[in-house]
Amino acid sequence: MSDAAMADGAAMTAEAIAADVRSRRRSARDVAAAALERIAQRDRGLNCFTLVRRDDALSEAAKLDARIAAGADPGPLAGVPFAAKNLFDVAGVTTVAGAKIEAEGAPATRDATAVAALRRAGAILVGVTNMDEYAYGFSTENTHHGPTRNPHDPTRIAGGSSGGSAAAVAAGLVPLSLGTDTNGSIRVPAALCGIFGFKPTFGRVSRAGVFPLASSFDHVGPFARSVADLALTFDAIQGPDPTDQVCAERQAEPCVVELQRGVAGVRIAVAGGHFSALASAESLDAVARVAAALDVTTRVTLPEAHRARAAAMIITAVEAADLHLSDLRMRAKDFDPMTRPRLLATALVPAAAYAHAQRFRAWYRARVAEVFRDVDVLLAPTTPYPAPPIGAPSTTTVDGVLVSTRSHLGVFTQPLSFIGLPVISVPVVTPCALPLGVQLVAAPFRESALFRVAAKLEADGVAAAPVVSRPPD
Amino acid sequence: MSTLPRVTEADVDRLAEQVGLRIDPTDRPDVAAALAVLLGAAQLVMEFPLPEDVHPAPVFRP
Repeated sequence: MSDAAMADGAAMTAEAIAADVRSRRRSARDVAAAALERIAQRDRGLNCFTLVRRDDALSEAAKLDARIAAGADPGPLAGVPFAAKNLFDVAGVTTVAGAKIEAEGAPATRDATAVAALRRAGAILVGVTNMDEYAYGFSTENTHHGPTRNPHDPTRIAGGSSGGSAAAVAAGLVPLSLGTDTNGSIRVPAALCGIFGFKPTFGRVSRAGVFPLASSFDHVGPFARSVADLALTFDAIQGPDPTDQVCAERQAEPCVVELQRGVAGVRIAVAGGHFSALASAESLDAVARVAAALDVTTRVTLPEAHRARAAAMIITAVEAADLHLSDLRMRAKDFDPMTRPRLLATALVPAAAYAHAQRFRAWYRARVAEVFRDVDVLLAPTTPYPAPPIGAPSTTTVDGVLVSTRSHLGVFTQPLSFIGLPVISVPVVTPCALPLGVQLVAAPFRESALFRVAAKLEADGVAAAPVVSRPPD
Repeated sequence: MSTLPRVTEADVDRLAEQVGLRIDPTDRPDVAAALAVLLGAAQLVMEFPLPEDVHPAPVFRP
């Protein structure tokens, strides 16, 4: 990390910030002011934020300092600045969801459950972030708000749909952020921006107060630059929530305590078949390096994973159509041209395909459960290639096969979120190259194994997310 | 992508009419391309035979 990044706290982890604030070595207000200054300096070039809560963040941080001075416990994330995708309700802020149509709406009257949980833990919300319209995309090339630029190369996409949240963490504007993942919208931008991204088990984290895309697959999760920060955030937001109909009743199972356990006894395998085809050599090499670091030679196949991806596309499309059909009928021109044709097409999918896709999901879930009888953690590439340029042509060639440049980014993430599996995307260190990620995948509600493996990879220097301090051109 | 179903702009208009959508002519080529991708995915899903005892319905417990 650069001296400049160290000096203004850009490279500090949430864990270190909270320790400083709790012990009063640094005030929460100073930490928030420094984060807001970084955003003011750099976000014009990156376009991570759609709204910055400058006055509110400073005021809330000052109140936290007063509570600490009075002897109150400020929480495990005391004074940690964070950002949330503009898909989460934030009291007093309109949940725009990347859409011109939603920008007309009234401000939310209360926080989404996950946002409220981070604030209860002492974190300070400094702003809300850019995304693909209605979360229906993998690139954050939003026409209404402009594209979010990748901190590693501002001519390239940050990935999506939670691109603003990922880029803000990668650039050191904030140490943590919240995103959502329906088909890969946390994991894809995490990989392309070179940070850690975590999609917990479906139902593990409440979605209450989050604008939906496809209810069958919508997940909430964090981004961070260290495994400990990822675990701290997850522990703060996980657990039952009666205001979310699909949130599991299962009690929270903290993962911070797992980080020192090591990987002894964790059975790890590389996912082959679908997960080793139609990808660049660099993506497959990233998996090979992680496997070598963990001394893993076993390969397994998730049966019909390519069909699982197709079924995920159908279910997402039909559920999105259900949400947006009325607006598509009345005011299609107000949709982002990047999403409008694809959303219009969702309304034209035959109904029988949706029903068959849901039945296939039950079949596939049972087959994958059989694989997890012999394996605890699977390794798979996160994306098939590094970040494409902003405005790239709609198709590209991989291994001699023509694919859709943007939708192919989800080829390895979709078969996993399709059945709600927990996944951490870890950033694999490759000097002088664009970032890539590797997915660590576990059986439902077995997040602890993922954190043990991620912590090992980080400790060994195989996975790391240094702040990108290069100013945008 | 080479095996995607062929979707014409006329197909888009006909299907859109059935769900009460009016698609602007300038959007039709892109909608047809997006629909071809979805119908290709639908075909891949539908051609997979599933046993009759595979159910999508949730399980209700007391």
